Amino acid sequence: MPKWGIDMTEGTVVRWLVSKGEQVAPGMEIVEIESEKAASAVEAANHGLLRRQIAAEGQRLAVGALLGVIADNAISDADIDKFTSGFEMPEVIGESAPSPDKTLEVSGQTIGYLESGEGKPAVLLVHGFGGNLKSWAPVQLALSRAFRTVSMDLPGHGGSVKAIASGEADYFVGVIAEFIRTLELAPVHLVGHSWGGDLAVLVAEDQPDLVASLTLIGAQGPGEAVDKGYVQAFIEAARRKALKAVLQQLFHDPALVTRKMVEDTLKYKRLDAVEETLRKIAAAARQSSAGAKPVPRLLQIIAGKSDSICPFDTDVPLPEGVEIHLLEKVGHMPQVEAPAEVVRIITDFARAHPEVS
Amino acid sequence: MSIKSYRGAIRETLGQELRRDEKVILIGEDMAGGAGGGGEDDAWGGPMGTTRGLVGEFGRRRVLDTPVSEAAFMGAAIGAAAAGLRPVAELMFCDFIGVCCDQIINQAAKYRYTFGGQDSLPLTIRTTMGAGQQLGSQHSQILYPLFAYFAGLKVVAPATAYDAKGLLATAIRDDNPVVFCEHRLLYRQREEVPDEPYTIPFGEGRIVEEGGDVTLVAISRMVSVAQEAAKTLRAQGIDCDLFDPRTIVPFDTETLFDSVEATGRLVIVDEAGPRCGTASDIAALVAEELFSDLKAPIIRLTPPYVPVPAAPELEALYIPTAAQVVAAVKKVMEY
Repeated sequence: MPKWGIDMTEGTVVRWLVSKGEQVAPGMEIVEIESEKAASAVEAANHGLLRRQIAAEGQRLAVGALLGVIADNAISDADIDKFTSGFEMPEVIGESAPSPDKTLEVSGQTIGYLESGEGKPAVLLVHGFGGNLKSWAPVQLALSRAFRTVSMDLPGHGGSVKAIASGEADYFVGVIAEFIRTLELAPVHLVGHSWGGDLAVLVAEDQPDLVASLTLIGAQGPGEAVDKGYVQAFIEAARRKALKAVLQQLFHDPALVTRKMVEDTLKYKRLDAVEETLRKIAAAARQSSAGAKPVPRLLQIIAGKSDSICPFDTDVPLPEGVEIHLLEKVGHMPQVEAPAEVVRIITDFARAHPEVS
Repeated sequence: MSIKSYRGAIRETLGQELRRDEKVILIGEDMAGGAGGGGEDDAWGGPMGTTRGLVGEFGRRRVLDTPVSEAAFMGAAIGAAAAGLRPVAELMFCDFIGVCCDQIINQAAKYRYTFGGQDSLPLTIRTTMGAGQQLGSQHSQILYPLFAYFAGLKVVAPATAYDAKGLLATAIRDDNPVVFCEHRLLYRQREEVPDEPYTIPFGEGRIVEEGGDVTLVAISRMVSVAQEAAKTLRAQGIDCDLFDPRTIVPFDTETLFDSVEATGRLVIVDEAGPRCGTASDIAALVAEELFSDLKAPIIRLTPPYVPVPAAPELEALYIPTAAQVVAAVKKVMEY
């Protein structure tokens, strides 16, 4: 069961479009799914035969549940049986169910994170200012098919410790580096969004052997123009209406800002230490805005053409060979507005440079 | 973040505020409990268990057991607030307000105004309310309409554990008298609540579910009754915009008016009585402000005009039910 959107927790199988035993190819639609907000089809990612239809038409299943099995002719039924019986089906959960985030201690600080997928290479997703690892939900599950995918909550955010000693970038860079070492992710494909992207560049600069490649989403490197008005407005917005207007600036399609998104953000902002933390970070960022050099590292940038928070600036000098992906009808959060594209871009990039993994 | 009960969330907040500010004290009957009964301090933490464990950590100078005299200890709490402490006094049953009316109504509510704003009274009064446990007419009332009447008091009635924790923190940190109303049937309500302290501003209600057909306002325990009704109604094609004001004073008229402007229909379900109650107040505010937006008369769904019965069968007839909410919504839809 795919995850189409941050809030999606379950979907209903409408009907199978491919019969058992039929050949499938990548891109072919195999099963129609309906969720609370979307109705679409799951496409095959591989060549093979549809060997099993596990989910029944009309069945409601949690995101991540096994729908069916595609396999080569050569794989035996017994092997498929072994796989399906060993598969742990997630339970159908409602909107208010606790998230299965884990935490670990990094330099004495509690850091929340979510890990999925196995093996090398690893991808680390770092969110932006005022955000949390849930903003990666539309891409994390898909990425974990190919990579060990970890998303983390920076200090002051999400499930991590909320009070911070300093808003300086150094502090966060240290935590990220330590986190990479603790989970043995190196050399990691580091993906950073917005302020998280700025930090990712600094991590790569500071500790190059930890980083295999850098993907910046909605960011061009520390020091380039970010809408400071947005940052202040985000900090100041104390009520639903004000915050909704602020969050809508993040997207090409403002309708993406749901009541739940606003509520969840308000709940986060109202935690005791958070306001002070956000002010510290904003103040420190303001001071270090005196243009930094981008990093000569394997680098790609993903930016939305409608990004009003960190508009992509063609005048900012970038090293040779930096891949730039500008997405139409996408604002400051491509991972939310164009998740399939973002997954493809990250996956292709990592696969195209296997020598650094 | 963990699953907490409404009761647990309240207890956690009291502990966090006691830790945060040494001026915070708890005062009331059986706040500590246990002394003299088997010798163990804190054997009880009150009949609702909302203060269990606190006297152990903070001692008897900050968690005070009082004699059974609301007049005395409410007066003492008010005096303590005037003298610079930040007391959280417990009125064990809101029904007992009769014996400390002057203290709350004439002293606490009017203190700041009387002295021209030169001083304020950082007092929180926690109290229990509500029917459903066959405790009889003198132990089952909803009295927030009474508290709301007296200018100078803020009145809070959370419906969930998450709201209880945040609103209680705000109440304790507020420099004005706040009456915090806990519905006794909600104590076991459980949900995910952050472990860290947080606040929720007063005057901000909560849209529990969105819908375009009718605005359904519910307070305290009636929120879950309304949710049940909304589920039934949704299956029948009627979508309710369910609004929980969370605070009676100050009241979030902005969200309420936005909702009624959009739906044109209003049903209010409140466990407080039908005469001079909160439902009547809300209905009047809307009728006055949004008359031309209304497509149907406003319906107030409240208990009948009778003291709360003690017999289980009669009490069940007294408390508004989901079925009654469904019927009321259908009535405004068919107008």
